[in-house]
Amino acid sequence: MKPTGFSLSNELGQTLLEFAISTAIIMPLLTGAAWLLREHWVQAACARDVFEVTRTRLDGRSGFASRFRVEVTETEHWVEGSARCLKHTETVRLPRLMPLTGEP
Amino acid sequence: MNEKGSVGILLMLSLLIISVMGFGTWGVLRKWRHMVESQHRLDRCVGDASLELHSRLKKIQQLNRQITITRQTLVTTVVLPEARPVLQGLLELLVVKQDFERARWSARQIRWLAERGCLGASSFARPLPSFHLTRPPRDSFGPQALTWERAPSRFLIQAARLPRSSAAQIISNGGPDEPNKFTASFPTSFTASWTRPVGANFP
Repeated sequence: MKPTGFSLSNELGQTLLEFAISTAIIMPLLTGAAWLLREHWVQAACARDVFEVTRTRLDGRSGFASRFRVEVTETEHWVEGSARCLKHTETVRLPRLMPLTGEP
Repeated sequence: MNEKGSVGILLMLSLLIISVMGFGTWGVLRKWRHMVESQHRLDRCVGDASLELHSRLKKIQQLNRQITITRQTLVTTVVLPEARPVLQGLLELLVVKQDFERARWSARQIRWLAERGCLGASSFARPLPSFHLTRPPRDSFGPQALTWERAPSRFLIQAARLPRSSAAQIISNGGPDEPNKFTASFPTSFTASWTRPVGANFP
């Protein structure tokens, strides 16, 4: 049956309604997922950077370029690195041994 | 295809693709973080064990020196017989303290094996090194100082949780007989340092 002008606008309305409802459901879900992924990304990157900065200091090598502000404190027995990344605080504490040797 | 619901299908497909990508990224991030944590825990654990071994060796070495000095004093006190029981008592005490240090290290070795090194069942580790020390038989002055039964070139401590691993070593800073080797007599000092893991199972 040939669609009338009324049924066409009715279908378009139905499609628009579906789109609006789906978008209303999907967009917050996507935003939430993106936020969660960003949190995890920052946590993972932060954990890695704090560890690398601390380990670099421990090995006496030149500085590791971190995108986070990592504070390193050193004592006779320990080297401790910590950084605040978003709401999380990462801390790495390593015992102070002599730097890595090339010996196998 | 009926046009009704086509937008919904497209949106669902996009959502599915985005979800798969999102979960994939999340998995990679989790694995990344897990590896950093594993390396941190391995380094902590291997470092702690190395420092403990360093401390035990130092203590045993100090006690060995004290035993040697006490024995030398005993030799020179032949003319002072009243000082002899006191010095012999001191010698026995030093030997007990030294044996206690060795026993503590044996207990640490057992704990290390029970915990499979550092991170429990998911990790594996080389057994902690043993002190191959022997005490020569008592003589007329009392117990003697320890000597190396088998002098190692270094003490190696390593543990792994694949694909990560950590290793540290204790080396001698030079002994009276041969520098940079653990010789029959104790070297003057030891150094604990990080090193590269050895063996096929240790990446």
